[in-house]
Amino acid sequence: MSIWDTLLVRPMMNVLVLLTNYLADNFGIAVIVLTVIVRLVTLPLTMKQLHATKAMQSLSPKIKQLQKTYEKDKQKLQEETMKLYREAGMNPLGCVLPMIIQFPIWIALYNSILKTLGATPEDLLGLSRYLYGWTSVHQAIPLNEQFLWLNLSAPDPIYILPVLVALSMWVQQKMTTTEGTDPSQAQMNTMMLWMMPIMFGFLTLQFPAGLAVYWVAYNIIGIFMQYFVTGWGGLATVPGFKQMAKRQQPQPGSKVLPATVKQSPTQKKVESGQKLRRDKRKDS
Amino acid sequence: MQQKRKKAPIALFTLLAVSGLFLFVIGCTGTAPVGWSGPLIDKQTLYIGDQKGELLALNLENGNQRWAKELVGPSKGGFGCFAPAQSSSAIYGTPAISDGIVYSASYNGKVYAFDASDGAQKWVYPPDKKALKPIVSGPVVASGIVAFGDTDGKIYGLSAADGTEKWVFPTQGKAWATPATQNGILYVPSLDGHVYALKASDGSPVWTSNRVGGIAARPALSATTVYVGSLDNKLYAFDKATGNMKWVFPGGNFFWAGPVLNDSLVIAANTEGKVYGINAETGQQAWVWASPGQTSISSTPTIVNGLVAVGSLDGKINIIDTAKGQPVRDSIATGTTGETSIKGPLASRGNTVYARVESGKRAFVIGYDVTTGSQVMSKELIAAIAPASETPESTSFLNWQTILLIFALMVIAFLLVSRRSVKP
Repeated sequence: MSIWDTLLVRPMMNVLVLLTNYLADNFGIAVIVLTVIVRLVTLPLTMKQLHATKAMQSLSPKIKQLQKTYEKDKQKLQEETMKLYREAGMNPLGCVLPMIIQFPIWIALYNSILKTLGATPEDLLGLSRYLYGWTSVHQAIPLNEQFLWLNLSAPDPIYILPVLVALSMWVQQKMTTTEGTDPSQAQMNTMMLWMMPIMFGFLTLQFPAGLAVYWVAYNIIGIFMQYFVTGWGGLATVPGFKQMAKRQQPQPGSKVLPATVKQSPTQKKVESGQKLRRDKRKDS
Repeated sequence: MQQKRKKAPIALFTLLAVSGLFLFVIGCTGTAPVGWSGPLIDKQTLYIGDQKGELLALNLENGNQRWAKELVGPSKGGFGCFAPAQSSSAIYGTPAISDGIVYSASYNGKVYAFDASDGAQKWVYPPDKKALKPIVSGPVVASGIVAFGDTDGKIYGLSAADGTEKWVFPTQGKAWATPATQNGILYVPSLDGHVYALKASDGSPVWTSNRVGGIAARPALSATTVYVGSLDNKLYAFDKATGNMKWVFPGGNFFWAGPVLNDSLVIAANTEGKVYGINAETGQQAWVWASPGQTSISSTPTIVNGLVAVGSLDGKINIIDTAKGQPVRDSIATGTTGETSIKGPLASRGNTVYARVESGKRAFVIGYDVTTGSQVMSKELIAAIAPASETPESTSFLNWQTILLIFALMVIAFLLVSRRSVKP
């Protein structure tokens, strides 16, 4: 058995089976609970990523200003942009690195759900290699594949899950969209906003429903986390959400920050960097 | 500068496409059904299913093919990951024979009856383009009825003469185990953890055992007891008349292989690589033998000349003295590659044990004389048959043409979005 299987896949599979056994033989609920557990374990990384995103969003008016100032000099624009990031103590890759670190965990959970379902005789027989010797684990085999209208080892026959996966992913992407970026960045944002949900929705059409349940749960938890750190973000531009976003904006003259906008260490760095620039300009 | 602007989105699109393909591949990492039909020996013929969904009849003396038939079924369409599984004709169950007719069940959801002498098809169930859920169990014949289970948990009783449906009995889990039969009663385990005793003639229940772990293996029957191995790592003995549990024997991993009886012993192997000799009356362990390297055993053993032959997942056959629980000779290696394995049940005739051996992507039926350890038969399972006349039809609109169309639409959507977001 490979190190990947030993360290990641096998423990996750056994936890999945154990959870199923203790959750009234419900594999669907076990998948959701394990997704919550994985999200909690990777919370520090996720929060770092979200705060970095929030910091990027707060810099976007400054970046817009730089774009107007150095419209005709792209090299100077790039230099000033990087200087802005440095002064704010930010790494543009700050959003990406935590995601990369979490990637193996996602793939392992993905693999464990597939292997645990044991849809074919070969898969069910293969489970014996992965299960620990715990009685409570072996007692649960084979797992009950029924969850609501779904057979978790087969695709959703009425295509509700692909829609939910695409929609939840779109909402999450929209919330991270930043304004005031250059056309290339805008293009990439648009692509991420539409291509990712379409791609995942399409993949969900043919994957076992157990995986789709995991994706929906994962995205919904992500939406909640995103909301508490960055608020509605880009979703505020969507009709229906505009009013909600307005109510959360700080009123003119108010010294109190809205509850959803919290000062993160990165945010503090950004603001102190901005203050430094203002002071330098005054001095010069 | 415009070119630089275009490079970033193209790079991102490529990354997304590669990620999508990666996820697609990973999402399809479930094992495709291949099958592990064991050999059936009747008179001088050996019947066995190969990995392409073909039933072969081989001359027992020289391995020459007498006839071969493809178990053709309707392609259920599906696409992507599920297309191979849904259209597979893999054969898991060992064929059954009665009154000159050989019966075989397929993962494609159909059961076939062929004339044992020349392979002429007698009937197929369900007829036409219909199919049941995938069938993993082998058929068994009792009281003029052919009985088997499917993945939907239903046990079917068909007329052995013409394949008409006589009765259906529902269970709560996949019915993957081949039933056993004695005196007109079928003993049918299910992955729902119950053993059902049914009258073969009409499918009416005689008794249902208490629930234990899921059962995937064929039971062994004595005059008074039904023995089954379970995926909860235990071997169970039930009273044959009432279904009450007599005793339970704990092991270390799945009892996937069916148990066999020899005198007063029940011999059972598990995926921990151990073979147990257990007192059939009391459930006490008489002996235990561990395969070299404790290689998993999922193949039902067979009794040969008072010895028990056991095949393991490393492709080796071990011959064990049932009195002492010790091998009488060195392991017989059936293949030369590291990928050799034996999964299906063994069969025997005289001093010879027969097994279906997988070696890489090829499959063989081999025969070994247990007294000398010499090979008496080796036949690669490649059927020399004409292409099937019936062309499978896809019944789903989600075929590869549709996938290509959807992908093309995604590319067009990307191009349109790119043009709109790039400001002139």
